[in-house]
Amino acid sequence: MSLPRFQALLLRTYTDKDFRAQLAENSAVLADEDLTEHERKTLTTLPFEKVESFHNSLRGKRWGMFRKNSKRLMNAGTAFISSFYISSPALFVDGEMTGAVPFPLELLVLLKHLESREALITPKTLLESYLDIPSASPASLFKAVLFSYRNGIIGKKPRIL
Amino acid sequence: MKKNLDSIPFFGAGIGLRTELERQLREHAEDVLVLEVITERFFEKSAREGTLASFAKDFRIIPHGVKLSIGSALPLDYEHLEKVKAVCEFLDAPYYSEHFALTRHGDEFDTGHLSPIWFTQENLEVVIAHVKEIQDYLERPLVLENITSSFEIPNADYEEPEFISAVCQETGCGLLLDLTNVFINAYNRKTDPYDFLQRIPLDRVIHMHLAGGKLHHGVMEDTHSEPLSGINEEVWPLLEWTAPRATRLSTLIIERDSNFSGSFEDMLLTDLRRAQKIIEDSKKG
Repeated sequence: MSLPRFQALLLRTYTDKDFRAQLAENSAVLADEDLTEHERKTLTTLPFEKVESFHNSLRGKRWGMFRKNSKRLMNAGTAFISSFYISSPALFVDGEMTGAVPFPLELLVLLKHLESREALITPKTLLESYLDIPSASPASLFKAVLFSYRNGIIGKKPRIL
Repeated sequence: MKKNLDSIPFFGAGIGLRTELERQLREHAEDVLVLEVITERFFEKSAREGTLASFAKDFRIIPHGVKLSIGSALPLDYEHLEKVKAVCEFLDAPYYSEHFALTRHGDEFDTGHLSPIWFTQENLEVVIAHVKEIQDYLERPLVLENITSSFEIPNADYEEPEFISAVCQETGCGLLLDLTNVFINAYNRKTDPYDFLQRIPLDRVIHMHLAGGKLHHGVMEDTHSEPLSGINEEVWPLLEWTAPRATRLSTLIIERDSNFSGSFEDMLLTDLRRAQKIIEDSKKG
């Protein structure tokens, strides 16, 4: 049964721009996939322009949810974050961190971290429904706080900064 | 399945509970007959016993899920379903609503958004099997919502209305008819919304949604951010036409997910009263 693999590839076209471009240009990208001819043909004849719009709307929705929730989370969690970093002073040198995570993942991991550590201060929202959140690392958490303060997401300067 | 579509009472018109609206909903409890909550928000016991319990004292509450991914060909996620069941039981929900959609593929991909099902025979069999399994597990009817989509997956065996009808026919499930989604799809695809409505089993409609979208570069977007006026005025004749035909209609919910800056009256109450009058009149007629 190849339908599950078809669905995985279909969802990938919604979220992976490079894969979508490869698929649109050259169907050989599916050569090694266990798909029926019907499924293969369907993936290569998707309305790619419209899929591109869908991809953009997904990003916009995620970003909107992220902004909406991050403000609330950050405000509520500032004290918690500060105490977290105070307890980990070796996490930064001259304001720079190693193990950089590209924006905006820094903030996403912070949200996840707050959600897992401090359920009571987080809004009961659908973060996991809208965000791909990797596991938190201290470096990315620190970058999140720094970024948030510099961009006005955290209104009050955390004590550590 | 213990409960069935015929045992569902009429609740009337209400509003989707969102954090930003909580204070105003408490202040206007006498105007709002029913609330709809996003089920996943109350997966934690503490959330159920806090916010949900406090609203349940004053409102009838219907749970609505967004993350079941009923179109996925993978086995159902029973960890997720167990939490859904806990919310349903907490609210003594007469039915559970979700979407005709694909949102994730196990742990490999999660779009976080509703995407269209490929309307093939194989997918139809998958959805039918899932609906039956979910209804048995939850011990209540499933009520499934039509979604908006800017495109359709090609090489399908069915058109959307026929796919929806077949699922209803084979499983006995109900429909959550989102009239705004019908309007938006028709607007963007340049089709007739009444053609869609005439091809689905309206006697299975248990629940309805209305929400205001926005026109962006000629494309109607399902933003849930506007009152039902201007271009969104189009949903009212659809409701007037549908309500008398939706003989099992229990609940109509107006959804608002962003742009909370206006007064509660302008954002929601005016539309709520108008919707309530239309569905009440249809019940009398």
